[in-house]
Parts: sequence; C-alpha cells; structure tokens
Amino acid sequence: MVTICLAGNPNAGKSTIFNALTGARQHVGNWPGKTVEKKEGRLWLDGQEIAVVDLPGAYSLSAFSAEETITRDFLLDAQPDAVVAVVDAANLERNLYLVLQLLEMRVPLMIALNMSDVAESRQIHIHRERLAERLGGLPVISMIGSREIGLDALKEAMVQVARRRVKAAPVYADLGPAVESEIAALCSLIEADANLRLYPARWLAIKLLEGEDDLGTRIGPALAAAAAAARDRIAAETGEDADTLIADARYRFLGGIVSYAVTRAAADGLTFSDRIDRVLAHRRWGVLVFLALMWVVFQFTANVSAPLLDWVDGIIAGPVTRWAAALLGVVGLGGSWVESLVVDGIIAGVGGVLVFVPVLFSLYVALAVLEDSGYMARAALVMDRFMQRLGLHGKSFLPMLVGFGCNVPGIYATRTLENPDDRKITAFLTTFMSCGARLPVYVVFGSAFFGAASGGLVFGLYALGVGVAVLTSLLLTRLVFRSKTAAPFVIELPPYRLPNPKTVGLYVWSNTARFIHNAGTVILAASVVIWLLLAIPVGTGQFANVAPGDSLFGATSRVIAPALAPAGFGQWEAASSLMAGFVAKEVVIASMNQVYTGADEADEPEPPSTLGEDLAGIVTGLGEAVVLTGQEIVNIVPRTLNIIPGLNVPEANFLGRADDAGSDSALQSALRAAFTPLAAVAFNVFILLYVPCMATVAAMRQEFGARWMLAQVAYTLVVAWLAAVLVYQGGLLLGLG
Amino acid sequence: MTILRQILETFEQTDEPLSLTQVARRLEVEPHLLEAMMAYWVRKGAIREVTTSGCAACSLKHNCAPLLTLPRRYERATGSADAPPTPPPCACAR
Repeated sequence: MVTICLAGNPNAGKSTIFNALTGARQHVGNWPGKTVEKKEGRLWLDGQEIAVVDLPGAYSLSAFSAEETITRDFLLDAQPDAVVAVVDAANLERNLYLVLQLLEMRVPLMIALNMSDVAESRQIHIHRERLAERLGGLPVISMIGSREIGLDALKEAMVQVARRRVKAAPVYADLGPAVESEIAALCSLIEADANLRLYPARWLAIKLLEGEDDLGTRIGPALAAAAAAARDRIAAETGEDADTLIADARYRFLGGIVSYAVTRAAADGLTFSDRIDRVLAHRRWGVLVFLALMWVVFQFTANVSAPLLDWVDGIIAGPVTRWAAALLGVVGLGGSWVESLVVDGIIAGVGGVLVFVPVLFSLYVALAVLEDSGYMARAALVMDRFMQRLGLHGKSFLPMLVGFGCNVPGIYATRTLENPDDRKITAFLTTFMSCGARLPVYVVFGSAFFGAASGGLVFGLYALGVGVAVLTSLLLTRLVFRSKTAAPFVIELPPYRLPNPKTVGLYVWSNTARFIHNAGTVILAASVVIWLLLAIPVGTGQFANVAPGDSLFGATSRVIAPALAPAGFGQWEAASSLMAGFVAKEVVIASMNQVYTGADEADEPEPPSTLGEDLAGIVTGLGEAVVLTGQEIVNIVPRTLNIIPGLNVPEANFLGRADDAGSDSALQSALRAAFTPLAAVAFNVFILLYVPCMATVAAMRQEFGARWMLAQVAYTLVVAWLAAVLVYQGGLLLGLG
Repeated sequence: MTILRQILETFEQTDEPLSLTQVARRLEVEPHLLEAMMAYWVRKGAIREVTTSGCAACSLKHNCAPLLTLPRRYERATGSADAPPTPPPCACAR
C-alpha cells in the first residue's frame, strides 16, 4: 500500500489537513514505546487506497525531543512514498528549517503552504513559483486547511509525488568550506559501508557532524570515531561548534530563499498600519479616539448585552426556579427549608451571578476585538504620558482597563509589569475601576431615582472611580513609593488587521468560562452562607421562617448601620446589602431584593405554566433578545451622537415597544421609600469605592501578601466612607437633600 | 562569526531581557529570520523567552490581552539555579 506522511512544525495545521484528507477513516494510537500520539488514516485516491500518517510536530530532525526522534526514525525506516511538509505560511522562516532537513534527507517531498490567508492578512505575500524554484522544483500547494481550500490540488500532487512523476533537483545549503570538506570525507566512509546504503550519505554525514548521539545504533564505532574527530577539527579551525555552523548556514540559506520568494508590505515605506497610526497613535488625537472607543465599549457592554441579560434572568427567575420548586415538591420537600435554600439561596445567588454572563461576554468580545485588531498596544502608547504624570508606567493602563470588566483579572494582569512597586500601585488603583458587577446597582438606583437621567449617574460614578484612582496614585507615588524610578516604556505596535474570529472566540470563551466556573464555586458557597444568616432567627422565630430583620443577618447589620448614618443610609437593610456585596458585588441586588421586598423576585406569584410553555417561552425570548441585541448595536450610533448638545437623533425600536423603565418596580419602590435621592447617590458612591469583592481581595493577598491586602481593604473603606459622607453632607449643605 | 553566535553574545553582554526588535536592530538581521534563529537557541536551552513575572505558569498566557500587547522578550538561560522562581499560577487559569 502507498504510504504518505504529513510532517511539519507544531501548530502548522498538520492535523487539520490530516482530518480533511482522511475524514472518519482514522485510527489514533501511540508510537511504539512513546506516549506521543500516532494518527493513521486511509484515503482513496485515483482508485488506490493510501495510508496517511500524521507525524508528530517537529521543528527539526535533530532529536531534541521525542517528537523529532519519531519523525526522523519514521522517515528513515518506513521509507514513505511521499512526504507532505505542512508549512505555516505566516511563519515561513521557522518552518522552512525543517523543510531544508527533509530536502537533505532526499525524501519524496512536496510543500503544503498552509494558512496562506493568515499570511496574506499579515501582508506577507509568498510567490509560490519562486519558492518552488528555489526548492528544486518541488510541488508547492497554497492551502487554507481549515476551509479545505487547496485540498484537491494537494491530493493530486500527492499522487504525482508518490508515483515519482515529480523531478525535483537536489537542494542543499552550502555549509562552508570547513564543514563541507568533512562532509565529503564522511560521505566516502558511509558509501563504502554496505550497512549504511539505506541512508542518504550527505544527510547522515551532517547528522554525525551535528553530534546526533542516538544514531550510534545505526552506525559502527569507526564511523562514530571519524565523526568525532571531524567535529574536533572543525571546532579547531573555525572556533565554532559544527552544530552551530551548520544551523547558521541553513538559516542564511533560508534567508536567501525567503527574501527571493516573499514580499512583505512593511518593507515598503508607509504601511497601512502606519497611516492609521498617524491618527490613532497621535499624542492628542489618539487620546480622543481612545476615549471615544471606550465610550463605545461601555455602550456595547452595558446596553448591547442587556436583552440577553434579561433573557437569562427571565429563565433563572422563571422556569428554572419553577422547575426546581416542582421537583422538590415531587420528592416531598415543597415548602420546606430545603426549598428555601435551593430557590432563595442557591438559585437566586448563583443565578444572580449567571445573569451577568452576557454582560461579561460583551465586554470580553469588545476587549478581544480591540486586542486582536492591534489597537490595544496603541491605547497603552497614547495613555503612557498620562500614566507617567501619575508616576506610573504606561503598561499600568492595561490592567486598569481590564479592571473595568472585572477587578480580579485586572489584579493578575499587573503581572505584566516588571517593577514591583508599579505592580502594587496599579493593583491598588485597579480596584477603583468600576467593575461590571457594580453596574446593576447603579442602574437600579439610577432608574428608581433619576429616570431618564440615570445615565448621568452611571457615567459620573465611572468618572469618580477614575478620579479617586488618580488621587490615590498621586498619594502613593509621592508619599509611599518616593524612590520609585520610572522605567522606559517599550511596546511593539503590531500591524492592524481584521480580528480573527477564532482568536476572539478563544479569548471570550476562556474568560467567560472562568467566570461561570467561579459562579459554581465561590458564589455558590457565599449564597448558601447568606441564606443561612437570613434563616437563623435571633430571639423569636423559627429556622428558615423568620423575617429578614429578625435574622442573624439583620442583627449583625444593625451593629454596622449606625456608622453609615452620616452618609444618609444608616438603615440595617443598606448595611446588610453592603456586607453581602463583599462576597461579590453581584449579590448586592439579590440581597436587596430579599431584605427590602421581603422575598426574592422569583417568589412573586406567577401564572402556572406547563413545561412545553416554558420551553417555548425560552425560545421565543431568545429570538426577541437577539433582535433587541441588534437594536442596541444600532443604537450605539444615536446614543453617541446625542452626547453633542442640541442633537436628538431618534433611537431604533425594532419591536415597537414602549420603554420598559418600569421593571424592578417592587424593589425600586422600596428603595424610594428607604432612600432620599441624595442618600441614593451617596450609597452608590460607597458601592463604587468600598472594599472590592472577596475574590479581588484574595487575588490581592495572593499577589502582594496579607499586609498590602489589609492596607487596601482599610484604605478603600475609609475612602468610601469619607466620599459618601462628603456627598451626603455636602449635598445637604447645598440644599440638595 | 556566525549570526547564531552573535545572537548569543548579544544576550551575554546584557543582564536585561531583549525584545526581538532590539536584537534585530543591533545585529541588522531581518526580524522574521531572527525569530527563527532564536528558536534554535531556545530549543538548545541557551536562550529562554521571558514571560513577565507570574504569567509563565498561566494557561491563558497565549490569550491574555495585556500580555499579548507586550513585545516577546528573551534572555540568556544560565541554568536552573539562576532561573527565576515560578510564582503560583495565575487565578485566571483556574
């Protein structure tokens, strides 16, 4: 049977092409004596069955790793009828190093120039004919393996190569006089040895000069000794290892091939990226563009995700809660404390976090698009001057930007800073960046007290967070870290490109999955604890049947509440929500629902529905959410334009619905009764600035130790209290109360 | 002297990690070719890529927006005794 193998660097797309060639007709096992995966498949071509072997990814045939040894030994021992060298077109130099060694080995070779779309997107244009010419006339097939483009041409070339119909000229790198003379001498010895006639003499001589020790089983002691002596002579003559001389000559040879066969746009004057950077990386315009883009990102995060958020919220508060209650009813636990724990504790708590998955998904999509397009590096560059004024490094901007999504990855992102002081200060400031989880609190209070002007409250709070971070930075760099020297900011600006959906998808998935995972662990535990605190009566009452105010949660909150009175929200209910917010800011609203309205929204009576009606409702709701998401994307434009005074561009309304600002009315009514507008603002200021969530505090401790964590907790508490009191008392003095 | 040796000597002359662009400028070598040549020394264990601080152990480092924005930097590998201690893995990876 004809055997064809695929060889190439790791990540060159070999497996993709292997799968496209063999489909389901493949077998996966291990290479004998190794834990390296061996994939074999079958393919019918030109009326003939062909065995296809996917060799392990290898950078060379120099036995640096098990993968390289397997590849080398397979090519030597199995003598395949054709070898397809799968080459990543976007990383040609690195990939051709292996190709050159395959050429030295004189295997029946062809080149699959894979991922040619990626190369083109990076403005790397490969002249295929020129490349083929410099590789001795080998077939060179341009491919996009993931889309099976070029697959038929590859199959045709495989048949031609396997049937020896391709006449390729030998191609060798000139390895220099010292090495070449020793190769010639070794070749004479190899060709004289009948046992070694299987091996290409030049290839074996080069391998021996490279000092490939594991070839010892294939060669005799005399040849090994001759090779060792040759290596010594080369080292003495040139002052360099033969191994390095050979590799260097190969790279120079490859450099010549690539400069002949490849055109890179970057080499020719101003590139497309350079032209864009005249504006986007400009000292002044760049900042304006950055602010505009951040506006769009916040619009995208807060508004575009809202319909899907409502959809998920509806599922969790509706069908999921009903199904759980019904299921517990079936097993005889309906109305018991177990039902309360599951419905009011776990589903309300974990569900309360999961409803924010669309928000974070949107944020990560926006960040991934900005990153993969190459913009993020420009943002760091234009913000460098501002950060330097704060005594910080330009790179500090990136963790703070990440902090707007979630403070936890923001804290870990400080690892990208070299200076330990920069890291500490940046992490300290990152907690003042209003994370996505605080946004729902602003939205609920904003719509309850300020109606259509709630956007102003939200924007003001975000700005206040940045302002407090600026002041804190000045304080820390002038009082605490005075000896800190500013390191130069070096950043490489990658070329702009259209974001790759796969890269964006991977980034979004990995980050969102982490959030969901946390919801199933930390938030689950916290929800159970809060439920327990609300279920345990103090004084009168029964377990799980006690008014929130008479529970342990209520009693504990009453201890703290008086300290908050100067800020205008000295009720135990507000204090309890702030305590719950330490676990996760997402819990604030869920907690308020329970303590202010006496029950979670999920407990509100709803008309009974069948399973089929629930499922139909979920599907219909998803359809509406998708339509409304499109509407919100469109509305970014009018909302952005409407910032300009005097402009009032109408917003799209795809479903023709009236504004649903009246939702959450039970909680909002309770809040209006409990807070004055001024106290509501002060409360939100406190939410913005006080201790970040438990996960962020844990991240601070892991990264910077308990002392820095405690300092941060104390500082945020003091700043939050002072700011809230200042807002409330100042407002009263100005007659705003 | 071979370019490969010059690359190694460039790293021996400094204690600071160097980016690909910095080395390419010093040696006047085309960056793409240089990157391939650096891979040779990385495979041999003479040079290592520097992943800032704790990010080395993070499984998300190839998708981390802040990290990807930074230039890839390399330093001379002077053996395990001099290798920086590996900090705990980034919680992003969990």
